Amino acid sequence: MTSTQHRTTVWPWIVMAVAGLHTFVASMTVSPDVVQGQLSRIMYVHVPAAWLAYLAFGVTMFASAMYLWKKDFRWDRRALASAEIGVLFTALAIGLGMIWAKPTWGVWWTWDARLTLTSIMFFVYLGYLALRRTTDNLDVRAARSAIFGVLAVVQVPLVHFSVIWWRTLHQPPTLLNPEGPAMDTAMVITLLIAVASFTVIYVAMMFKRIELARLEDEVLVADQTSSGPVAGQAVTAPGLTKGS
Amino acid sequence: MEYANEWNWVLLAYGVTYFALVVYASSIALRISRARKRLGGPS
Repeated sequence: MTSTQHRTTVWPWIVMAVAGLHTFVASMTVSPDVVQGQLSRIMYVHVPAAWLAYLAFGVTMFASAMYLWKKDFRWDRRALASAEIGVLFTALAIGLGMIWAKPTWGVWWTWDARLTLTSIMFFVYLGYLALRRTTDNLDVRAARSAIFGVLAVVQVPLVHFSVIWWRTLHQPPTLLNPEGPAMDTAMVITLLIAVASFTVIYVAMMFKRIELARLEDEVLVADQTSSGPVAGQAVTAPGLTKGS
Repeated sequence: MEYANEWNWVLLAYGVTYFALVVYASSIALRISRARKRLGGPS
């Protein structure tokens, strides 16, 4: 925990930039959809963002379960990193869906089952991040958030199967359709490239976010073990002398 | 079917995506730098 060796890893930044550029080039060069026109290109960022939300929250659940089993803080940090990145990609999936919905459905938002459940999932994981800020005790924080991380994953299948279980405006699964992808082969390949590139971005982000979580824990431990003033520089502990 | 200003919506979507990714990656880099300074190491 109090390791003083801090190596700077640069490769995740390079990987993120290359994967981002890769997605952009692939999605801008594929032919547009016959029905949706150029708007179909939004799918190449919307679908990967939604997929990464699933993946990230699945990893949070796995890492949380591993923490409860092993009591190793490295799993707690992995769970945190994945949850935070998952919140980012859930927000992106919702935002990109809204940008697509306005010109195609005519509205930014509708209380459709998929949209509503995705926004609930977003707020549940925001709650996970808020829960971690309720205490500075590393053991208590890790245990509470691990239980939350295991339970909250129930959101993922609810969101994914919402378009099958309920009558929704949102279209059924694109790639994970039980009857196979209902798309042109070139579009499927482009979508798979975008999904793979976003997954690479997620892995690279995980490396840096876990590094940050380790450093933040070291700062917390250093603050708790330092023997400074009681409440900052302006306030010092009162002298407890006999008779005072 | 033709939609008005299709490319504007596409550019908005990609702009939002890459802006969010760059801002988040930058926030991680900034927080790492701050934490290293707090620990007395190189930023």
